[in-house]
Amino acid sequence: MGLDGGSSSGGGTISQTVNPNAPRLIAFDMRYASNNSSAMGNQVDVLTGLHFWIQVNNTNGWASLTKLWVNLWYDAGNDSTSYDAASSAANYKINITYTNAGASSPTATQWALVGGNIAFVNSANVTTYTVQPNFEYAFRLSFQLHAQIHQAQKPTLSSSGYANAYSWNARFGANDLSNDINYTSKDPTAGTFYEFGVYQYTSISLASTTWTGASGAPGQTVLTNSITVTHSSNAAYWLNVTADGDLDAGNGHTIGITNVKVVHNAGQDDLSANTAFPATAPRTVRLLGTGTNTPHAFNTTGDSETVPVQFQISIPLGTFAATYTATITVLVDQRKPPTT
Amino acid sequence: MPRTASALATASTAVFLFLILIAGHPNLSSSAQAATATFGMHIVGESPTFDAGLPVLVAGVWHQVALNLSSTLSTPITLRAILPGSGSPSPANTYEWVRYQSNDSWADVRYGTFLSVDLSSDDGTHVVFEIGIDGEASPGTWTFSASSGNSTLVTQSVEVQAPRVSYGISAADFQLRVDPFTAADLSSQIGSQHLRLIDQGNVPLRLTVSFDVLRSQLSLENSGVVTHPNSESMYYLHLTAGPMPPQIVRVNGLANVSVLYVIPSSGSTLLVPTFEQPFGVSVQVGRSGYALKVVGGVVFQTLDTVRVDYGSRTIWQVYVTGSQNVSLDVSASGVRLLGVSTEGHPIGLPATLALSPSSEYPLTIQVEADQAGPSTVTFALHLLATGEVQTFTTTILVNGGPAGTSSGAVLYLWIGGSVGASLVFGFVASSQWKHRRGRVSPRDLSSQNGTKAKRGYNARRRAQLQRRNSRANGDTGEATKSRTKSGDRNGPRTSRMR
Repeated sequence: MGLDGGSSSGGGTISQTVNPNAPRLIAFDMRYASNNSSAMGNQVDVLTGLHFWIQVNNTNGWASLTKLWVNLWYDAGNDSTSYDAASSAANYKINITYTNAGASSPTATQWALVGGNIAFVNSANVTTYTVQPNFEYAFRLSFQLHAQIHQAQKPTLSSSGYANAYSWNARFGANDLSNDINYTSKDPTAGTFYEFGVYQYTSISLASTTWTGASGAPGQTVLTNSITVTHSSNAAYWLNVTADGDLDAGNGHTIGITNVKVVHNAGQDDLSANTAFPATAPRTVRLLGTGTNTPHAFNTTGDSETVPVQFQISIPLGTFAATYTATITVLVDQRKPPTT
Repeated sequence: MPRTASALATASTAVFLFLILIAGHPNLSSSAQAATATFGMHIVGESPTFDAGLPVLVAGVWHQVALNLSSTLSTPITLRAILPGSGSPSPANTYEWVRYQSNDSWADVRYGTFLSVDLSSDDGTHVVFEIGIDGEASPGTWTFSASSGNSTLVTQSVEVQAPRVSYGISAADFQLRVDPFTAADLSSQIGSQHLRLIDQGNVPLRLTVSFDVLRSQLSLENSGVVTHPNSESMYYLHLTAGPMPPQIVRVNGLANVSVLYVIPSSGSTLLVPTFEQPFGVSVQVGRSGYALKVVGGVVFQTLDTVRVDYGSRTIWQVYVTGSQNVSLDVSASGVRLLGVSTEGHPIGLPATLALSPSSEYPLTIQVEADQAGPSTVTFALHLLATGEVQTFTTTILVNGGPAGTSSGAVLYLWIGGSVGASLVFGFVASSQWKHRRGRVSPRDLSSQNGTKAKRGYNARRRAQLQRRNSRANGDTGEATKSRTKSGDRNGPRTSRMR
C-alpha cells in the first residue's frame, strides 16, 4: 500500500536593488568668484578668485564613496594629451583630491591639494552643502591660480572632445569601495568638454627705482648699484634691458650709451660677458633668453625667478661735470602664444 | 629815592606800553606765543601710509610734508630729516629744507636737489614742503623736526623705506568683434577682457599702452588711473572705428608701466627704469556667430556648424569679400546639396564671383539631411588673380534619424570619409579650375551665368543644376551675381542660420 504522498507549497519574493556602480556626477564647473559665472570656455586670470562647484550623488551611501578628483592639465599643444600623460610639473597640472574612509558625510579637511601651483587651503576654502543627507552633497572649493600657471588660449568648447590645442583641460573623477572609477570630462548639462584658457601674466619686482653710478672723474669707469630683479612669466620669455638714448645732462652734454655696459653675472643671466648697449635703436641687451627664437625657459614649478641687473659706465675724457640721466626699460617679453 | 621811584614808574610804564605794542602786532605776538604745528606726510596723490604707527616715507619719491601751524610765523621755518647715529651728514642720512616767508622762497640748503619749489605752498598756517630724499638713503627710523628761530614746532619719527617697484600685469588675448561696414564703438569690458596691473610695491604706478596698428582707433579706458601701492587696477581696451570691410586685424599691443614721482638722484649717472609687457589684440570684422576665413585678401564668412533635423531642409548664408575675383565650388558629404543661390537666384557651380573689398557677396546654401550622422559642406575658393586655392568646411550636425552603425564607428568613418572627400574635391576642383583657366576667354568669363552652354564637366554640372532648379522652382531665370552693398549688409531676409 502506498502511502499517500503529500505536498505543500509556499511562496516568496526575491529582492535585488540595483545601484549605479559609481558615484554620479550631478554638476561640476569652474566659476569666477566675482560673479559666479562659468569660466569654462573662457580665459581666466591668475591671482584671481575662482571656484570649483561640485555636486555628487552616491545612492549606495556616502560612506561607500572613497575618492573624488578634480584634475586640470595643460595640453601643451596636443589635444590628445591625457591627464596621466601630461607633465606633472606644478605649473602644468593640478590635482585636488577628496579622500573618504567610511564617513557618511563629508568634511572640508577631507579635501587636499595633491599637486599644482594654486592657492587652496581646505580648512578655509571648502564649503559643503547637504543636498540629501548621506547621499548627495555639493562643494564649493575656492582657489586662485598662482602667477606662473601656464598661459593658455581661449578655447571654443566642443561636444566631441577636447578640441583646442594649447588650452587647459579638466575632468572630474570618483571612486567607491568597489573600485568603480568614473571620470567625467563633459558638462552633464551642456555636453561640452571642460576646457579653459589662462591670461598671460608677467611680473617684475625691483628693490630700488634707480641705478645710480658713483661720482667719477672723466676717464674713470664706475659701477652702478646692483638691483635684484625678481620676475615671473607664465610662458617662456626674454628679459631685455633697453636704453632710450644717450645719458643726458641737458644743455647738450651727453655720455654715449655705448659707454654703458650691462654687467654679466655668471650662472644668473644668459650673457657671456659684460655687454654694451648698441649705439642705435633698439638699444637693447637681452639679459635672459638668447636668440630671437630662443626664449628663456619657462619655470615649470615655481612662482618667480631672480636676476641681478647692474651697469658699468665708462666716463669719457672731457666729459662735463654734471649728473647724466637715461631711462632704462626692463621688458619681460613673453613669447607670443600659443606656447608650450 | 624819589628819583628811583620815578625811574621805576617810568620803566613800568614803558614795559606796559611795550606789551601793548606786542599784543597789537599779530606777527610779533604769535612768535612770542611759541607756535606749534602738526605733521603730515604722504606721496603726491596718495593717502598717508603708516607702519607700526609711524608715517612712512619712501626714498627716491616725491612727498608732501604738511605743517599745520597754530599761528602764522614771520621767521624762516626749517624742516630737518636726520637718521640718528648715522655718522657725518650726507644724502644717506641728513636733509634740511627752509621756507623763507619774507621773500616767498624755498631752499634745499644742503643739496639743492630734493625740493620741488613749484609744488610747495604756504598760506600762512599751512606750509607744504614738496620734498624727498635720495633713493639710496638709508632705511630706518628717521627724525623729522620743524623749527622756527629757536622754537621747535614739531618733532616726528618717520619710517624711511627703500623704494620697491613690484608689480604684476596680466593680459587677455583680446578678441574684439565688429560688424562689417559698420562704425564700431565697443569696450573689451563686455567680454570681460582686461589688463590688470597689480602694484605689490610701495610706489605708485601708471599704465599706458601703445599699438602697432589701429593706433588712433584703439585706446585704454580709464587711462589716467594711478595704481596705488598694494592695490590693483583693471584697464579695458576701447575700439572706436569707422566702417571696415570683413577682415581680421592682428594688433601688437605694448603695455608700459612707469613709476610716478621719481626724484632725480645726486650720482654722476642715473638710470631710471620703466617696464613693458607685450600683449595681443585681434579685431575681427565679421558677422556675429560667423567664422572668418582669410586667404589672399579674400575673406570668407561662414558658419562652423549648422544643425538640422533628419529629413529636413535648412539654409544658411555665407559671404565673400575681397579685392580679386574668385571661382567658387561647393560640395556636400553626408547631406544632399539642394542648391546655391544669391539674392534668390540660383547659380551654377563652379561660379565666378566678381568681388569687391567694399561689399559682401551673399550666397545662400540649401541642404537636405537625407542621412543620419554628421556631414559636411565644403567650399572651394580659387583666387583668380593669385591662383591660391583654399577649402573651407561647415559641419552639419543631423539630429535624429534611423539608428545604424554605432555612433563611434560612424564618427570615425565620417571623419575619414570627410577628409578623403575634401582632398579629392579640392584636387578635382583645382584641376578643373586650372583646366578652365587655360582656355577660358574673357567672353567666357563674362558668360559664367550660363547664358552660353559649354562643353565638358563644368558645363554639364551647371546645365544639370539649372534643369533641376527649373523643375523645382519653375524658374528659368539665370543666376545673377548681385551683392549686398554697404548699406544692405544683411542680404536677403531668408531664414538664415546663425
